[in-house]
Amino acid sequence: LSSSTNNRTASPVTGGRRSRLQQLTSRDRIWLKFAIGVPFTLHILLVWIPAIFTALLSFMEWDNVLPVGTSKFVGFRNYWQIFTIFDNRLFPALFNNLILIVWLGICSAIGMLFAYLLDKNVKGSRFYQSVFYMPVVLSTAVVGFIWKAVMFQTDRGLLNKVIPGKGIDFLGNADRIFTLRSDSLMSMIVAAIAFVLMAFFAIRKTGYALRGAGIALVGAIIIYFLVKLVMPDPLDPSLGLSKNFGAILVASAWRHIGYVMVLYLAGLKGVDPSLREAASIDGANEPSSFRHVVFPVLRPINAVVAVITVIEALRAYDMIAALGNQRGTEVMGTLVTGSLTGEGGGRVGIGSAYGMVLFMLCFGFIIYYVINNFREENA
Amino acid sequence: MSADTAPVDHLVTPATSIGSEVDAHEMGTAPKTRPQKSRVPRFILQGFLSLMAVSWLIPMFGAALSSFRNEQDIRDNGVISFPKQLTLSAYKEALEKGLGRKFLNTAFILFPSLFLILLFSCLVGFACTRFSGRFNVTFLVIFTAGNLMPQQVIFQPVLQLFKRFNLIDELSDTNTGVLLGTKISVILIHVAFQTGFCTFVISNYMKTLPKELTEAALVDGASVNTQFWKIVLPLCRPALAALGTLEFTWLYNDFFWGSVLLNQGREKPITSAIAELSGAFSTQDSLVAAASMLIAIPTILVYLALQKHFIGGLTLGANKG
Repeated sequence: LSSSTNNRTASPVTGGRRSRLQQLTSRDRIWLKFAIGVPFTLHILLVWIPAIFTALLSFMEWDNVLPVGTSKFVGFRNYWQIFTIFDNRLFPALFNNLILIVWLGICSAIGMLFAYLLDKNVKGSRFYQSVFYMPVVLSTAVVGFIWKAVMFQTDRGLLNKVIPGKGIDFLGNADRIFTLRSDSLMSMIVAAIAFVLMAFFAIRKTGYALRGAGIALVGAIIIYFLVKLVMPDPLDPSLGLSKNFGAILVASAWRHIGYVMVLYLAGLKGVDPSLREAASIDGANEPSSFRHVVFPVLRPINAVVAVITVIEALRAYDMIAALGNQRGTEVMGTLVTGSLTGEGGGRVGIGSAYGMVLFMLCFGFIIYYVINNFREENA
Repeated sequence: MSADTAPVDHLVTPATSIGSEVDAHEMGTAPKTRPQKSRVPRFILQGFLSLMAVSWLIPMFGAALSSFRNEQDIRDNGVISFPKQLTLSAYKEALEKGLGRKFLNTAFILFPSLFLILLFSCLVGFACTRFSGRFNVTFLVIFTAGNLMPQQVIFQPVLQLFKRFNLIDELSDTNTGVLLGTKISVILIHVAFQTGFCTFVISNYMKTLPKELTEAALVDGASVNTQFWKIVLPLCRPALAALGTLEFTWLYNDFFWGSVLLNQGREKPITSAIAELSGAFSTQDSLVAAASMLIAIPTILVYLALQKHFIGGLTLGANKG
């Protein structure tokens, strides 16, 4: 910033952009430099420079005790360790994050449904909004504790009172609800990617969303079985959803649905009522009026909700850590923190490598969000 | 925002309902003032929503109930049951274990952070939107992207950085002579992180203010400083109220930084302190419930009192797509 501003003072007026700044006194210019400079320096120093250091540390080996100077460069060894069978914690954590993304995605859809229903001028709409939104103002850690105290206790919790049979220790039980062999999982991931690609082209080609998606789905199922045929036997222990992570999912839903609901409610206010009227005069039924009138208006909100959902799922940490970081509930956030502090704190290189995996996962969505928001300025 | 629901209602005039295919045959039964699609779906809708609302309230209600009961009662009869007697002993015990001091810690961290975050984001937003500079968009992009960074990615280098800063901090008990472990370190990281989001929101808001306002002031010879404090800042009051409310709860609810930067238990803010409570109280539902209620009450009160601002803040950031 400083160099460009200095140029302006030194060189004669060249363009309209500069001539406006030319009217500022030097005192004003210093004021503006400070106004941007101080917050920007703090932000860069405590957010971006540490991110770069984490990237560097992920290629180093350092025990966090001796001076940093004693650390040595080990190339991709940390990454090699965490991605191979040598370190068995990355994939379970990644899988839990993946489950969380899918689950919060479903919750976002429910939140959208709630918003749509509340937008219909139901009696007491305001009351319902307040009720659904209340968990959002609580910290996720507190949400975890409330659910622990009320719902999850083995002998007296509400869920065990409602569900018949022997009491389940929801938070301590790492038994699997379902298990996936790693070859099935890999085939699923390949099939999912294939589905997205095929759906994209099929919808473009046919011009119909449903028909295109149907064709893509059939293709994806065929691909799934083909890939599974050629996939080698599972390398590592199977991945799955453990019961205690399932409990955390339920508690997260309680908070996430209200959050998304409020965002969509604000968006629905932007739907021009006369458009809806026109649609209903033309004889559009409810689903089709939703699809063609309401949904397009919600598109910008969809983008925001998608980013919020994915980033929240990837950043998940508080509730899991607050509930004691039980076996079976590891996510990337707890994995990074656990490798850098506490008992496992001596493995800065490995922890930073975990951190970089998390960062790379978030990075795509961060870029998408930023481009989405600043497109018009750049154009 | 829920207040806005009403006008939309009136815009859907009865005339449209007549035209609509679905409603035409039901004109006789529907009340004239409120156009309804049909009676049965309305009824189902209400039923569904009330059922959902009740199930939404159960955890909160259960926690509130448990916090006033004694442990034996809960064990004998389950969490949701008619209490034999109500007592404040769980609250008393939670406060005796030092929760009161943790509230003070939170206040010492929260209010300076909140002030600085709002001031900084207004300054950056003002400078980047009211004055044309070559890197304005770059600044805003960096701030916005930085806010989405996962905190775990940056905390180890931040820890190392804070360890290397010497500082005598009179506010903190545990004076180790370095920045790490002081409340100031938490304030700094909050300001650095949250300024990103607030700058993004505030700059979007400032863009909607007419350019002529500051240009007129410029012609009148007002300094940039005057323009900021006397013209732009007062106009940003609604956005600031919304953002302030939202940031209040976010900072209050921060768990991560409070627990990794302040590893001395006494210094921890209230939300981070709850992890310790879980260790100590884990078998005692009434205590966990009482502690949770104590922690939840401030944000719930703020939410109920400032609901409009709160939701406004959330949607200010999201509405710009």
